Parts: sequence; structure tokens; C-alpha cells
Amino acid sequence: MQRGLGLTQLTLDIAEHNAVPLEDRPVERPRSGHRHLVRNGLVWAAAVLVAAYAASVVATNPAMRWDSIGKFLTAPIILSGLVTTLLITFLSAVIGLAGGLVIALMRMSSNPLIKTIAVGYLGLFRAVPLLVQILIWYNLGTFFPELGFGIPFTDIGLYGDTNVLLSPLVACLIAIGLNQAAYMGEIIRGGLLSVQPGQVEAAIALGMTRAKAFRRVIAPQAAKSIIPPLGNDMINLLKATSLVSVVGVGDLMTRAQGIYASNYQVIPLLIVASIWYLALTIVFTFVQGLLERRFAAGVAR
Amino acid sequence: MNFSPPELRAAADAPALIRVRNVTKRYGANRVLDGVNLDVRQGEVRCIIGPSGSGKSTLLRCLNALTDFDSGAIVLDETRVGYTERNGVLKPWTGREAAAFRSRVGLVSQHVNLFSHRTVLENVIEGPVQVLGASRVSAVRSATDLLSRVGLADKHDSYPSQLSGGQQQRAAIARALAMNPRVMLFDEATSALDPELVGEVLGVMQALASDGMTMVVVTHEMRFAEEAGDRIAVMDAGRIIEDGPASEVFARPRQPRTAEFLKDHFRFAPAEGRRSHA
Ligand SMILES: Nc1ncnc2c1ncn2[C@@H]1O[C@H](COP(=O)(O)OP(=O)(O)OP(=O)(O)O)[C@@H](O)[C@H]1O
Ligand SMILES: [Mg+2]
Repeated sequence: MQRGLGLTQLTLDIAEHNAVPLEDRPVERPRSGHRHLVRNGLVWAAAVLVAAYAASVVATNPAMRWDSIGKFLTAPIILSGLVTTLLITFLSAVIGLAGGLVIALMRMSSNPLIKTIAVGYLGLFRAVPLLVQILIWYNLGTFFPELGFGIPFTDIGLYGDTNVLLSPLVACLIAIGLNQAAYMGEIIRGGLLSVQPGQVEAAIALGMTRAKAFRRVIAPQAAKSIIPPLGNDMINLLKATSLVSVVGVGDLMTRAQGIYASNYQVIPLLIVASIWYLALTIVFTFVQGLLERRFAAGVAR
Repeated sequence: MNFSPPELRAAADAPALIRVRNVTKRYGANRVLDGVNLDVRQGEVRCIIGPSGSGKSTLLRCLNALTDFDSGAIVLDETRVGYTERNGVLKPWTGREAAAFRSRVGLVSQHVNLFSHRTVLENVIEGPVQVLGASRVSAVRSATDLLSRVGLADKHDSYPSQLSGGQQQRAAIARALAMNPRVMLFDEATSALDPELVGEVLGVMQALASDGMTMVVVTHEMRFAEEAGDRIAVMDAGRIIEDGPASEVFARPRQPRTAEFLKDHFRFAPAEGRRSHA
């Protein structure tokens, strides 16, 4: 009986509830986030715990030698390595950007021969590991003792000793720059393809020459989509420069290795290098953000 | 509104400002323009109508040297389109010469192509500053004037994405006018717009027309062609099949093909009844 009554009551409730039109029924609005707060708090607590434990393990490890990390972080030899790293990064970025633009334009050419050359370049330079490419350029002297310009099949021309022309630094710049050109070429091509053809046509119809339309319309619009992947690529490039330590160019990594080879403080010196790479990456990311905002104009807000 | 200086307005018997003579163009085996002849007088509103794919856009793009053609000749403002005379011989244009020519002809197309990374004002001064070498100050002054004439005085600093379709199209007209063109070409300038936005753009075009600007207008807006158009050319399959004063073409089409096309575009009523609808 009791049970029966309850059931009737429930049926009545449902009937009454259904009588209210859907648009007039109350809804549950997300409350000011009590549950979120608790959940976020738990995540933070767990993260802090793990971080504190990791830090204590590292910090209390007697092999850690905090004093030498502090000492080497700003040691002149490490700083000169840092400058070399930045120099290689900057110069190969310039080579890469210029070469990449050429490769991108060649790849978009309507001439099948030019296009094929670009595709071949991309295939080759993206397939061979950068480390191998650096070693090839570095050792080129064993293969071609002399390099230079001249008329083929004659002795007329300007030649020099390969090992003099291709100092380790130059060999690395060529290797990394040409490798970068392949990657940047694809990034730039993607950016150029993202510009709507109508925008270019509007510029041409206005009376701009192709060159001016490229500078005033295509380039700034392509930049918007090029910058995020380019920033990514620059960070990869920065870290890839550490590969030049195999030929001893004197970059940050070479210097760190040189020091730990004599004092055996391997991990502390690798941490010194890591701190600098981390700092540079933070700067790069910051610059990328600035550029993104600079070129964001006109995006639907 | 006063868009063009009075010396541009000319009598109806003035020599044609644009002369298209037997122009042909193919895309592969497709004869897109098949011996087109057309005259446009100074100050005239010349409408071109016709079914989709009949070659209207292609003809307009030839007038602006955006597309080259296979044979025939176009003369615009005493310039032979595509060629410059050097030592008594007509030589093909360099890229620079083609660009200089295009700066004298305004084009407004169906798909509004305002530069998306620049504000409305920057769009309008881009041509005068970058192409004509005007100073920024004077370009801004005339752009301000033009923008208030097309009803966009309060939109200088908006980006195109922040404007309605009709506002974008009016800004595009202002951008073209800023170049002080001899001729304005319109390619279905309203056909991508919502119906309630068509009127504001046609209004600007009408004001421009009554101001004496020479205009070639490809349109599907028969009311506009009828009311603002001086002469109408009807295109079909790459040819101009009928050409005459607007009133005549609409009231008494001579070609069956024209009558059929007009019937499709005035679905409501025959010519007489139409006027009372308007
Ligand atoms: N770039 C091109 N390549 C190949 N064919 C083209 C090209 N542009 C236009 N055509 C062809 O030329 C013909 C005429 O095109 P056009 O755009 O001039 O027609 P239209 O009269 O403007 O049509 P609509 O009213 O649809 O705009 C069509 O058959 C079209 O397919
Ligand atoms: Mg068309």
C-alpha cells in the first residue's frame, strides 16, 4: 500500500513536471566552481609534492656540486661557447631563410625542371641526418683537396685548399644552413599557399607589380601563418647546433664537454648547458609571441 | 555625390573610350570569347548581362589586362591593351607597363578582396601611396572623403573581417576610386551579398554613374541594368548576341536567346507588369 502510494505520487510528480514547457524549466547552471577548485587544488598539491621530492633527490646528491654549476654558468669559456652557439644559430637561420624562400618559390614554379630540383633538394636534405651532413662537410677536404670556381674541364679559375676554405665553423654553417633551407622551404611554402589568390589578384588589379604585391600583400599575410612553425623550427635549430660539438667548433656544448673531460663533473656541466639552452628557448618563445601579435592584424576577433 | 571631375563627363556622341575589336580567347578547346566587339563611350554605364559561363568575367578581365587574349584588339583611353609603341612597332608590355595600365582601371569583383591584414583606411590609401606615389597625408585626406561618400566614415579603423558584406563591398569601391580611374569595372559586385545588402552597394554605384564615371557593369541585377544602364550587351557562349539601349533590349529583345534569358531573370511578370512591381 505504502509502496503503491509512493508510486502514484511519483507518477503525479512526473506528470506535473512534464506539464511545465521545456523553455520554462529551471536549469542547473555551473556554480562558481567549488568542485573545480578542489580538483585544481589536488592537482597542484600532487605536482608540488613530486617536484619537491625530485628537487630534494637532486639537491642532496653529493655528486651534484651546486657550487660548480654556479661557477661554470658564467665562466668566460662557457660564455664564449654561448656566443658561438648564438652565432651559428643566427647565421644558419639567415642561410636557411634565404635558401628556404628560394626553395619554396622553386617548388611552386610551373617549370617542371625547377620544381623537380626543389623536390630533390628537399628529399635529400631532409633524409640524411644532420649529424651525417655536418661530418660530410667537415671531411670534404679528404675527398676534394681543392675547391673553387673555374671553367669545367680546364685549369682556368680560382681554387683554394679545401681545409683552409672550409674551416670547421664554415663547414658547420653550410651543413646546418642548407639543412635548415629544406625545412624552412616547406614552412614558407605552406605560408605562401595560405594566402588567398583573390588577395594577390586585388593587389595586381590595383596596379601593383608582382614584386610589390609580394612585399605588400603576400609576405605579411604569409608571415602570419609562418611564424608559429618558424618559431618551433628556430628552437630546433638552436638545439641542433649542439651537434657541431662532434667537430669541435667551440659552441656551448663543445665547451661544456671540454670542461667535464678534465674535471669529470659530467652532470653539473650538462646542467649548465641545459640552463643556457632553456634560457635561450624562453627568449625565442617570447620573441615568437611578440611577432605573432605583430602579424595578427585582421584576424577575426 | 561627386566622384569624378566634370571634364570626364562627355556628350553621347564622343568617340568610344573603350573599343573592343574581334577579341577571341580560348582555354584549351573552350572558346570563351568568340569574336567580341564592344564600344564603351565616355561617361556611359555599359551593362553586360548573360548566362553563367558566357564569358562576361573573362571579357572584363581582358579590359583590365588581368587576362591576355589570343587575337583581336582592345583600346582603352587611347592605350592599346597589352602593347606599347616603340620605334613605330607595337611591343608587348613589360610587367611594369601592365601594372601602370591597371592602376588607371578600377575593378570591383564579386568576391570582396579587401586586404585582410589592413584596416579600411589602409586599404584605401594602399594604392595611391604604393602605386601612384602619393604622400600619405594627401592619400588619407582623399580616402577620408571617399569613405564618407560610400557611407563608411565611422569605419576607418575597422578590419575587413569586422564589416558586413555590403560595407566591405563599399570599401572595395572606395579603394578602387582612390586610384582616380578612367573607367570602373564591376563584376557582379552584388551577387555574393545577402539580399538586404544589395541595395546599399547598388546605391553607391548609381551615384557614381549619375556623376559621370565611365562604368562597365557585369550584373545579374536586371533592375539596376534597366534603370542605371545606358546600353546593354547580352553575351552568350562567348559572343555578344544583342547590344542596344537598355530600354530597347528589355522591352523588345530581338534574339530568342535574349528573350529566354530575360524571362528567367524576371520570373514574376512580363515587362509592363514589372514596372508596377518596382
Ligand atoms: N582560368 C580558367 N581556366 C579555364 N577555363 C576558364 C578559366 N576561367 C574561365 N574559364 C571558362 O571560361 C568560361 C567563361 O567563364 P567566365 O567566368 O568568363 O563566365 P561568366 O560569364 O563570368 O560566368 P558567371 O556568370 O558564372 O560569372 C567558362 O566556361 C569557364 O569555365
Ligand atoms: Mg563571372
